[in-house]
Amino acid sequence: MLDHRLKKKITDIVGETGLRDGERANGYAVDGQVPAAVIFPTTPDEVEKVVTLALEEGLTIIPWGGGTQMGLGAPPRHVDLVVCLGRLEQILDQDAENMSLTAQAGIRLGVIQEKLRNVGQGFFLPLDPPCAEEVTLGGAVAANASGAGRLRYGTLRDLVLGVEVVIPEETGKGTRAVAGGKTVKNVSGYDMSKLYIGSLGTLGIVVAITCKILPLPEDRATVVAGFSGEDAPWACAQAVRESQLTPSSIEVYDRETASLFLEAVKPSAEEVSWVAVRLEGISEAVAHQIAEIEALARSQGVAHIGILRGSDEVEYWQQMGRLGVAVGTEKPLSIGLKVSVPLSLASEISKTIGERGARMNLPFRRLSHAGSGIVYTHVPLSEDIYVEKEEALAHMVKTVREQAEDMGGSVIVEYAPPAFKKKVDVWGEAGSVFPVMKGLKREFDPKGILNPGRFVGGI
Amino acid sequence: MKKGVLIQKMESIVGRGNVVSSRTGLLVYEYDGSLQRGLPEAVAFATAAEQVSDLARLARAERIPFLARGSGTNLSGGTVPVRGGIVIELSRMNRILEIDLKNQRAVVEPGVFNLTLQEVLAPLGYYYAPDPASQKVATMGGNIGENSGGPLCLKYGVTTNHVLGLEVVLPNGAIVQMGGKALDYPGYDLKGVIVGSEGTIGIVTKITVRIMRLPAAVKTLLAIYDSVEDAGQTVSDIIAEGIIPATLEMMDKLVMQAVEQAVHAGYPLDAEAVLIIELDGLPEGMDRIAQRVLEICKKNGVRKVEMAATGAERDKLWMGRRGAFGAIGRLAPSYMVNDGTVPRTELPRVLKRVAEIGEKYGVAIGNVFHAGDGNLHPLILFDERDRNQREVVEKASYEILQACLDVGGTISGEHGIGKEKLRAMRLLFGNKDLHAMWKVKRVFDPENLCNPGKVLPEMEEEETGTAHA
Repeated sequence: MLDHRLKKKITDIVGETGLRDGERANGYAVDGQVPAAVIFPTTPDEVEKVVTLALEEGLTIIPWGGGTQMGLGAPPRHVDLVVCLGRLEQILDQDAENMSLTAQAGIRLGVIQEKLRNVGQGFFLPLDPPCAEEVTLGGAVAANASGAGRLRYGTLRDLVLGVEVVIPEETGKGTRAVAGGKTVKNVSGYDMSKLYIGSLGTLGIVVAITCKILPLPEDRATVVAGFSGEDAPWACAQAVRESQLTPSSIEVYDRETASLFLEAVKPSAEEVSWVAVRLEGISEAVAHQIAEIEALARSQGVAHIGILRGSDEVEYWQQMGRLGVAVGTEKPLSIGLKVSVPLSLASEISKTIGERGARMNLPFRRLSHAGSGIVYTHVPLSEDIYVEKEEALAHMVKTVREQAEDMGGSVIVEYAPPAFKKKVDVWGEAGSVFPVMKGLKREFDPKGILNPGRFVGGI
Repeated sequence: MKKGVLIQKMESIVGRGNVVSSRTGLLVYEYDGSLQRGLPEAVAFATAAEQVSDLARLARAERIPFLARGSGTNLSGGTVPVRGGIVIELSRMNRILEIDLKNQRAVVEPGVFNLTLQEVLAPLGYYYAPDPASQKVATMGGNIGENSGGPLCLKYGVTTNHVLGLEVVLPNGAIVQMGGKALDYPGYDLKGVIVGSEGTIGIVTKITVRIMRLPAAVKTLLAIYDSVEDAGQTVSDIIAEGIIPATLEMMDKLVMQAVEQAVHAGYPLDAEAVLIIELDGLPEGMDRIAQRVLEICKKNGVRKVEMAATGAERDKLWMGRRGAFGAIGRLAPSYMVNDGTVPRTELPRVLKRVAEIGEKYGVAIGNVFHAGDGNLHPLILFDERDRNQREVVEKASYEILQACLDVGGTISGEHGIGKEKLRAMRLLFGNKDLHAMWKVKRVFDPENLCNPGKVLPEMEEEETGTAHA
């Protein structure tokens, strides 16, 4: 419970409307732990003051963006304050001619895309993480969220040009520091953005980001090919990867996943596995690639091919991006895995995962970035099924992780019930660099107030 | 430790023939591609990570600085031992360890020349995107240290976007692995911080990079202009139309004249500027885009546009551009090259400022640069043996950097801060920003022995609460 003195200190910074406590904080629980207060700063100055206050009072901070990926990470050691960045939502510099955009951390990606669509001939931020409309830019940075388009456009580590961060300094004050800038080429000083991206807010609270934007492609289409076997889509994906075609995305998914999809590609009885290739660019090149991929799919014995364009095409990818959410809302106790291995081994580990799901009689929904070697598995669970299968699932994660690590990759449990997170290390081992990671955490957050315990190795 | 004992210990690590300690031998390592100078105590050629580790431990035990060096083509003094100590030479650690086509990765040792990797990949139908102009001689380890760019970086990114794994010897001698062949390993992106850290937080001993399929088609154009501003405006206009060429490079008259003397690439001697524009991708539709580019050039008063009809013609065009810095040697004994980077639309304005600054100080300045990403390289010609000239050139340089910052740019696009731009770091960053970077340095290298005196300017005690030397 928030005492009166502390409450006043908070409202002195953010006003009455910037604070929710008591029952009103219930919607901001992290792994079941409800914060004493949820604070909504509206400026970077206020963020600094809140951090300073937390340092003074010895309180922990859980930064919060759009709340779409709060399941990521181990359960926090202690939750005092949730600091929601959602009201820092201004665009600070929109420079389409120079293909850069600077915005505050709380702006939603959907808002950015909407604004950019109407600039000049149309621009976009080439980032398509799950829940692309609601995710905040700062949240995406903290989680290093990405989507299928990463094949062509890269991830935030390739898109971010500069950041501004509030660091809980050893001086006892929340202090803003900038790194990077506006230009695509920049080697002035250390590449600090790389540290902050994917650090889950454990080194500082990002308040502003500058990133690359691109002109919207002239044309766009997606080829969806359904097969009666599991291997053919992967063979197609490999052939496309090894060709000189320039797809934006190559996704492979199974029947369980497809059942959530658009009418246009509702699976026929014989289709069990799909590859979807997204093509963007000048219209002649898109047309040529559609033809090439169709031919490829036919040579692999395709059962059904669909070509999506326009709003159907956009809708299809949006639905794909909501897969984790769809699973979560359908059966609240769900588990999501992200398995990343060298490209050529993804089909093998995907198969292993599928077989385990079948053996456990659980609906494993697999969706893979076949051009990147990343296999996502979503497992919807009701309460009694969870209780029944908890041990087996924990065992599965451990063995899949062993297999992935033998292949030179990794496994992350992206979301799971708090009880499951106690049974399984969600991140896996940090490896030989752990001492350096710990050293960085000590330097940037000496009091350990930011997201304590949520990151790799319990950082 | 007496020098003799130090050399002996180094020899026991890398072998007797692999340590340089004579005065004449050491002079070769006193300089790099910049104007900085610093004599090392000794140089050791290492060929294995364990040797690098032992050398670092030795230096640390003796409390002497150490730094890594590849080909020494560094343009900001990053490979000059400005505080003495040991140079760990990696140019003999130059094996390509693995070409893994099915995973689209290559694993190389730091001493491999960038071009060597390209030449091995090309017949297989692949390439490694970061292609700095110095690729014939610059090493992959050096590329990592500087986060090198290259003409292709407008479309494909710089070194850090293609490095997926590193083996690093930390300043305390520990050999650690960062990243690997897969993507998104859990933890902080430490390899992302190592890239571009100019050898100040560790020494890279193995590199895993992404390799890509060569594009199906390439179209190279040479656009000849009678004014530098028109060329600059063309660059802006091309991007504004949503066309992202693979490459957009510019050279001015001074540079072209030097290049023609050196390599006879076929550049016009009387034009004020040329643009090399390269489109890549699928051939379908490429002609239409090339036509649009042509129209934009014409709109901006281009004199003539030539298109390379064969691979040989294309190579010839590029030979000139890549040989530009080297060719400058025909015009003056020394040059000071700037590396300011500005938002592309500011190019015409900044180029004008550069010309004004040249006139103000009475120095000749040639321009060759990556117009597509706004990374300028004004080359100020002079003779460094004349102390007065050196001072003038440094003043002119500083003003050019300031001009870049005035338009929202940065002080280094790809050559690094090194020692040369230390002072200029304070034009760009405040104490709090530098303080955050010093945190990183402190974690990796608490004793400040790993390439000290580079990248981060020293901070006063009262600025930070603790002294950083």
